[in-house]
Amino acid sequence: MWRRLVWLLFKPASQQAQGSVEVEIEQLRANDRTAWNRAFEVLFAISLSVCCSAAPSMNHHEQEDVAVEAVEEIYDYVGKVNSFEECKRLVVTISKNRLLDRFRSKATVKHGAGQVDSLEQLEGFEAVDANQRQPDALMLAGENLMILKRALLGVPEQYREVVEEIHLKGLTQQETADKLGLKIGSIGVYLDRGLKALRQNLPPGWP
Amino acid sequence: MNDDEKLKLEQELKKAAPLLNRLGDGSSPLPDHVRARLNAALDRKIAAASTVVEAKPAGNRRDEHEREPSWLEVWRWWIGLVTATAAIVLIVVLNRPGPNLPPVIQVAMLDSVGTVRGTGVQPLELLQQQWKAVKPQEFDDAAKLKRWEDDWPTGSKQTVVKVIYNRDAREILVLLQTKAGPPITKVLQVNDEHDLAIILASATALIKQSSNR
Repeated sequence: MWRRLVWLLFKPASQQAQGSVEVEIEQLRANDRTAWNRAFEVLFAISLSVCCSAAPSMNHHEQEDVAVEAVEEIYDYVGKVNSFEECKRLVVTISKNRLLDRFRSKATVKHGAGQVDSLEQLEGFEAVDANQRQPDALMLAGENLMILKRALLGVPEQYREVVEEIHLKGLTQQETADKLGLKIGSIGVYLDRGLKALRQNLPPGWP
Repeated sequence: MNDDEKLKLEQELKKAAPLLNRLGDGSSPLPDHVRARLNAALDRKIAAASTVVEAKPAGNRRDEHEREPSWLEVWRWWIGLVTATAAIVLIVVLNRPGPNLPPVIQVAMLDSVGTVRGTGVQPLELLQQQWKAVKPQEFDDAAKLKRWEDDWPTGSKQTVVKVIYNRDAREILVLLQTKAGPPITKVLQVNDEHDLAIILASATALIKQSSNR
């Protein structure tokens, strides 16, 4: 609790944009561009998370298309929902429905007209952990993804690049040193500092 | 940050790596091309929403006094006036008195003496001439006349008149039974039977006058 209090009081200004993104539904209704861009980030992350978990074998471009279409559709609902939280839940549902539509049309083309009622019946759908199927779990997974991304963007560039090359792209320290033109001895230091900065940027208790 | 926390963080990064990489390498949490698509879609939707608002009937925006009235609002007063007039006319027509039909006349004569009188006047013929469509009844008995006199047709919409020449009493009794109102009785004296035709004519005038009320 003390750590959280200290974090809330003394967190650097650059970190204020990180963490859970709060968007007011009234701002979206008022077509506030800044609010919409913040909302896009969260909603896209959630939608992409749904697409990747429900249809991992789907082409990446198609997953992205589905996620973008799902986020675009949210605009039509801002007048009907009470909070941005509902928008986040809604994008999970819309994403699943759009995936279903895509798979259904493919199944129709391949096998002829038939009844497809759920993603589980479709080719390309892989069973995922039961918890992951719950809308709230999917939503949280997407939100956590965006929180992590923002936290990473708040890490100083020279440290962030090392963290990304090693932990996100899977390069070795030597490969990273060669790629970034750094000494091998610096990689360890930069990595350590990058991870510490990342941890500081993340909310206490995350994930 | 201790070793456990560092390990946990590294594990989270590795788990999230596929999706984190999809979110782009730039300084934005969203790939630029995705942001561009979403902003373009937002522009379209805002523009479409603005077009819908502008295309709404002007009546929603204008002051109520300024908007063009519909045909119903223009004609409603006339329609109301016509309806009220029609209702009044209907009430008046339904309640007005029926057509002024001619009275039903029944004629009778009481003559207990008969031709023995010897006046030379044929009262039955005079009665027949006065009321051509009616065949006078002749009675020689007052009781029979009385029964005839009391026998009034029921349910008639017309005025019923009984004209009784009582030769014995030298009088003409005119009894009118109108459909509304009490019965009217008029007595005309016949001092001289030679004036019977004139008296019958005055009885006719009397009947006419009484029926027109």
